Amino acid sequence: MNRLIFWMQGYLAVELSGYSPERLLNLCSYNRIELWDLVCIGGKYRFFVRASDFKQMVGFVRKSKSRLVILEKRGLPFFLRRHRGRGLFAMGILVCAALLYLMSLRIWTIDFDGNSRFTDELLMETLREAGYETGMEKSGIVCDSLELMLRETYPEITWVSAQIKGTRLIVQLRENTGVLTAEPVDETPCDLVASRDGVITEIITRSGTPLVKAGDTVTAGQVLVSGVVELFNDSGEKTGEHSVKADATVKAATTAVYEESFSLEHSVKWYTGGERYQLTLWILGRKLFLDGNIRGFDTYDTVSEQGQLSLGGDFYLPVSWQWTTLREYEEQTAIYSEAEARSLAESALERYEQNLLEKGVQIIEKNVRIDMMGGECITQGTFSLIEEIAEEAPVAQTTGDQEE
Amino acid sequence: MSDRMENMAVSLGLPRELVTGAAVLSSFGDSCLFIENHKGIIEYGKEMIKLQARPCKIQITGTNLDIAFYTAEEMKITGKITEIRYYR
Repeated sequence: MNRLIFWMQGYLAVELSGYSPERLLNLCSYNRIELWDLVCIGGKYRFFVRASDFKQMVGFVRKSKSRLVILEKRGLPFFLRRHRGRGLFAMGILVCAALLYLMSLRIWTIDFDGNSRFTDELLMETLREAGYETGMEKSGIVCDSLELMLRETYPEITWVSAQIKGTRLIVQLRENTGVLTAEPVDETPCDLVASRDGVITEIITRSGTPLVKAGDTVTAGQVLVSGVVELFNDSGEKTGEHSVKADATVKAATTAVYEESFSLEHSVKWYTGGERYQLTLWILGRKLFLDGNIRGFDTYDTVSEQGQLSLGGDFYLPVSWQWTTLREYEEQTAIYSEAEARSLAESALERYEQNLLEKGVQIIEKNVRIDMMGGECITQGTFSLIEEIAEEAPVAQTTGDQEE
Repeated sequence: MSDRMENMAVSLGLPRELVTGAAVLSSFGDSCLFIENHKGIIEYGKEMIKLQARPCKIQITGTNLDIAFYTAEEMKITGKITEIRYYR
């Protein structure tokens, strides 16, 4: 810190020699002139002294019969004097500093954190509609009202925190992933019918009249649980009936046929090695193409890299770039080997099984073959399953008296 | 006189160096020495520095002796210090 003050004030490197240099040193200390880095080299003394103190020292030189030589002038005043002819350079520094200051007053990038359902683009659009966008003044942003606006627009967002860091507006949010809404209960009377052929293994009826029992063979469309409940009096005579929404768990052993085939011939991308590049710059929101030579490929992949200029940390500037690489390729026909085709077919089969298990279906037996025939890979076979087969259907007959 | 002043300072609870004006030396190993209350340099060389102080002169011997700073109140000597001697 002291050194910085000395540098701002300007200081001199001085060489002292003569008859009684110690006397001069003592005179300096007596007159409160500070000396530092005093070294003795070959009978001469070298030290540093403030430029303002040096003028006072000159008066002591004769008194002590010594000689003072200035070796070097250091510090800001001497620097400015040396470079006084470079006005434009100084002006450039000032203009640069002023521009940086002016740019630091605005927001140049908006980042979102914690969003998974709401995309950055959607949130950005919402902010833009509310008047928040890159390039706006920092003083125009009221974080509290921004937070409130986002929460009110999207009730699924449960927590929002907006903060300004450097030239960055950071919006952190939490989404409520498990919104529970009460679904209206449909109480329309209905039957439960079989969705496919099978043999009933289990039936638990919660409401309605069961028409089948475990061990029965049913066909698709057959009524399993009727929505019509008959009413009997004490003598066992039917007095009427009323319709309810049939509700039951009906599980049946069914058979599913699996058949899948694909051609062994397929197309692959063969990269020719031809590449073209394009650099796009955005300065203050204006787009500049630096190289437009990207035409000429029929089929190509596009890879883009984006970035924004920043002065380290959170000081982003309104200059961003995108580097686009176009890679040319040609489509070529290739043929899967038997092992490749088999592994593809197996993974498709595995996905099918996974899908069944996710639906709560139990796989009892599996009988599947993978064959290569006529340039195709054919997977076929059957699955023995136990699955839920009841599905709702309108009540078949509503004849008879309704309950009074 | 000086002994009487010193006794008085001790009984009043005052720092002795304030009352007697005696030099205070604090050293950091053998490479750095702070001297307060000195009265000036008598002689300065790379191997030896002689200082005027109260109540006696101080001779610092060593190699590569430099004066890191020098003000009316205090000074700092750096280098390899081998001996500090007090003499009249």
